[in-house]
Amino acid sequence: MEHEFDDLPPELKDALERMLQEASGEAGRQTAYAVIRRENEIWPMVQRLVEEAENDAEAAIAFDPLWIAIRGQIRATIRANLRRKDDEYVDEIEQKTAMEVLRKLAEFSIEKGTFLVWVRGIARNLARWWRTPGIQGTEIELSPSDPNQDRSLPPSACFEELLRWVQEREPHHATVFLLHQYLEWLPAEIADELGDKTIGELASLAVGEIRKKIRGLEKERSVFARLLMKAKALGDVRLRDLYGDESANDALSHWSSGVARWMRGQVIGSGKRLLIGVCELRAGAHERLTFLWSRFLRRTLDDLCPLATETLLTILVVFRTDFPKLSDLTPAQVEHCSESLKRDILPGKTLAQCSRGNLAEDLIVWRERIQDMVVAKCEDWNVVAYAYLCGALPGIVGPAKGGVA
Amino acid sequence: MTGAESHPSLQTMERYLDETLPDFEQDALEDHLSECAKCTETLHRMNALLFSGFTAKSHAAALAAEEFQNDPLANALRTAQQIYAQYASTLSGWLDTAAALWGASPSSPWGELGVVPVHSQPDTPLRVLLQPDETRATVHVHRTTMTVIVTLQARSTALVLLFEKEPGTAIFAAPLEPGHEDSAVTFPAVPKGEYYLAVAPPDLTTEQRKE
Repeated sequence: MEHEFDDLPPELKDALERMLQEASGEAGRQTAYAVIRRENEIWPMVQRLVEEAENDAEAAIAFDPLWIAIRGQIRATIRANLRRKDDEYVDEIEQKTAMEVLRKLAEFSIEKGTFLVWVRGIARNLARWWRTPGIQGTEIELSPSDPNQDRSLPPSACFEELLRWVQEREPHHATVFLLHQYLEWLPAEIADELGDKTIGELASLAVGEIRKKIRGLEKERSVFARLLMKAKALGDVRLRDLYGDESANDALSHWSSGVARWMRGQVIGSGKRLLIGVCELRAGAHERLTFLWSRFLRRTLDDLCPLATETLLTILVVFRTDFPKLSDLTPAQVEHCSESLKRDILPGKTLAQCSRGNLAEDLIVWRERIQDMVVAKCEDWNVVAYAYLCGALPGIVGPAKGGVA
Repeated sequence: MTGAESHPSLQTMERYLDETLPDFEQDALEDHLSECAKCTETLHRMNALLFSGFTAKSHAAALAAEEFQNDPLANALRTAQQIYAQYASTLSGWLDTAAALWGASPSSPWGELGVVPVHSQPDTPLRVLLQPDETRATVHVHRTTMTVIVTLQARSTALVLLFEKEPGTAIFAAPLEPGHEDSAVTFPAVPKGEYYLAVAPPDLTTEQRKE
């Protein structure tokens, strides 16, 4: 593939080099090539625009065809960052982006990134700024705290699982994380008001605050028993004693973000346990495969229908090949985790042979059956949050009050 | 990452939300999101649980939503909505009101005010007498089947719903027939069991029900 880029303009060759160094793994490298390929297509138009930057009238003439060529991608960025399903506000932000690009044109430098990446960065910032509550006088994304909004919330079991996991961390880190992220205190407030408290007192206070806010949290004492015990074991150590060389704000922010990153890693890394659990379920191999296809590979069931005449083993091979790209598991680990499923597959049996006639309908039924089994079992497997992430555990749809869920 | 088939990994999505992914990889992911509903959904779920959504407020909202979904009255109304499609809009509004009432007194949804005397003699119908401001009652049908007559001491055409305490079982719905000074509705052949009875709130007019 590299030969394809031999004839690139030198600026783009350099840009490609920089991107390849920055890329995250092989997928990132492939993306870098695709980005440069696209930039090469629009490069003559970009050059013309940059040359005419000083002349407003000429710049406007050069700008239009370039914008038409890239606006689809700009809008994709805006839409993704607004986090809305509809196109409301997209036109407005696109227009603001165009004006901002023309205004800042002199600042563009290929050494900082390709033109398209630069423009999309501007669009992204504008969309995020727009999304931020209060700034535009309107909050685009409804707050998760509003019980009357029509949106999907994670099941409460997910929150409880995460609250338990967080306690694996050092008690002062976990407590600050709970105060900062979960209870939404500012680090400065924590430092000012609680800096002199012992970690034990701080943990008790955080648990007390949670108890006040989460009326339905069952057995909250036992939920936080581990944290309270670990915090108490620190004796008279106060929060401010643990800042080290950092300022209070920096230390608290680092602790909280460190726990958040760790927690996310734990959830995302728990796919292995869910995969093993699903593969070992007492259900038809075709049902389990359908579930893995839909929930783990994130593919539609319509995409599975054309494979009706393929053997289940062939479909399992597709899964084993593709799932490692979507997870942090190696092909060998995926193979190992799905071994019990492979053992249950009858040689030569096709997907169509498992169907009672209407494969498209059967696939839905099979997936839902496994999903029901997963929902019933996943608390035992302690992978509730991962099951929610991959769509196996349905979200809580609808408002807390009113309406029909 | 240009086609819907090559989905980003969860780790890539996490770095995207964490804003630690290189710019050009963010762009590629956004291109993918614009054509892949499944990944968009996954990203929203990740954000809702592991990023901005992991808050006590969201947790409390999830618990409240679950509580509401498990609520016997809400469940009965949902089922009734499916069965009595012609009353859909009325029942939907009613559900809102019922939910609001639930929120107002969550600890005792069927408190003392909701329980009214139930008069029953052998071989006679079970009579439920409601004062004008009463909207709820508990009803115990103690024979194999009984006729239940609900009388409201006010002129009304409101809907009356009779549903078993066990969610998803027997449900009866019918409008009150206004008489001279009161209104009544008869439910014939109600099977043995424990029932909740609820009357549509007075602000639901006849016009609304006809929709």
